[in-house]
Amino acid sequence: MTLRIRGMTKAYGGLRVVDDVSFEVSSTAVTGIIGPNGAGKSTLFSLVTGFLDGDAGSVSFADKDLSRASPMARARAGMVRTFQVPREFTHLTVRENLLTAAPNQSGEGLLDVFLRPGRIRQEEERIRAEADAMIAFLKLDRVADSPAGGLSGGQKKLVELGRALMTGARLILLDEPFAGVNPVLIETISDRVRELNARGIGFLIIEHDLAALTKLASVLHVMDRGRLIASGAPSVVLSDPQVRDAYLGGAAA
Amino acid sequence: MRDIIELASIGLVSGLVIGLAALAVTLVFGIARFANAATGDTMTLGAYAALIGTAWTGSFLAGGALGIAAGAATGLLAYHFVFKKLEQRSSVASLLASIGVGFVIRAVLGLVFGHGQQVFQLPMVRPFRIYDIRVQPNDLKIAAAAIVTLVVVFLILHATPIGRRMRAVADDPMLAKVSGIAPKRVMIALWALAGGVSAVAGVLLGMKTVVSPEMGWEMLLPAFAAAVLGGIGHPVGAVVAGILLGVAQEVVSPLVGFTYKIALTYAVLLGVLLFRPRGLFGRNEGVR
Repeated sequence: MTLRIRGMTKAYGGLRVVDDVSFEVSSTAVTGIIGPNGAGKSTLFSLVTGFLDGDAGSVSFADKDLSRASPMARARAGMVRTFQVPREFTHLTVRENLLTAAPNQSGEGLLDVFLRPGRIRQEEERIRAEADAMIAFLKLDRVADSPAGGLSGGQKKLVELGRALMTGARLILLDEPFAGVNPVLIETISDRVRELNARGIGFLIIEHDLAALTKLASVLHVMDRGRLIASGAPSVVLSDPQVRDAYLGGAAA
Repeated sequence: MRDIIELASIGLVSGLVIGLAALAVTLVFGIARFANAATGDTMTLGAYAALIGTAWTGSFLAGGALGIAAGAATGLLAYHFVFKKLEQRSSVASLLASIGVGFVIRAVLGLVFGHGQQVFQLPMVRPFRIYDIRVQPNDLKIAAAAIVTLVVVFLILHATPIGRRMRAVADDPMLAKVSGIAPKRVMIALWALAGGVSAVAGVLLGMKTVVSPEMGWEMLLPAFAAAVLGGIGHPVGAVVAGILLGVAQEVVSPLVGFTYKIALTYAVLLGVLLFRPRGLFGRNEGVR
């Protein structure tokens, strides 16, 4: 499955925050997006996942055109994002946060609780088992029944990853998964990403921690001032003089 | 001392009724994000429906069930015809509309049943004494019914999928939407639940006092005060604050006199809004 981004453009006033960006992301790979602050990376995520409407451009996933689809429809198509500042249901427990992400939950209402308790219980047991497995996989056992609002930044990122996985996503877009996360949890998150990728889930990752990102990603895209300025294998991209100039500045030269 | 305990036990019962009404207010506030001024009149409607049901069937329980059903139906109708259409507008629009909805319910009830007072024909039972404290058997029934209702509501909120979704929407509506939670189903569950809870509060209030078209409207302020005191949008807070208010009202009545005990509610509401707007349980929710 492939995510195809074509001619994506978004301007605020005269400023083109995302300027005619096109590339493809395979759901069998881990792909990185890097670039200085304000390069348009997070805006691109919002455009791709439907949280923002673009001025021009198209998005398709698994050969399905999603350019006009709602964020929910894009998530259902298998493409789910996380947020730079993690977003979770703060008063719900970690387990409940995962449970609310499971699909097909528009099925039952209040009456079914009384009229079809058996069906509800069956459905509930199935997604609870799924959530339990996810909690173990993400090493969230100790906080499974704590309100998600009280977790550390890194744990919240794991919860977000868990929520994305519970939806059955095929391609997960992570917005700065390592920002403000301690080194041990960075390892945990990286390990889980690697393992999930081996199971066939694709990742598109925005990250400033180049060392951690290059260990994960097989392809890097570099953005600067809204434009895509380089794409390719990390070693090639990072030695590109234009990239060094734009992103790493004089300091790393 | 004994008098105070007796007053407190009476207050506990009226506090449970206030708590139920406050729970209905706070549920709607947490999820639909506005203060529903029709809550009191939904209570009244539930009480009248229970009167009719009791007269038809001869069974108070069956009457109560009809009252609950009527309350839930009222909530759903109000949502379908009024509040759904105002969802995209400011919460002030919904608040004002709810005052109108309440007025219509009150007017129709007044028209149909007249403005006289009616009572539930409950068997007269002698009060008995526990540790020398006088207890009215009917008060015990009212308290038991209120507690059962609270348990059912909290089980729905915390132990069922639809309850989890309701809490998720209260927590972060946008995140709930992109998580694939259908907002309409949550709203339907909310309005049925809030309407049913209001009706229970109305029936219990009717058992305790009398049924009249204005009974619920007069309960609205204590219910709002309890919802605010408990931390608006916080279900447990609403119930606890309702009980506190009910007890406080009774206990101060020998000091300030029967007529002015209701003034305590105003004082508490004012005090909380001025000094601790987050309420006792202090989470700041639904404020935009």
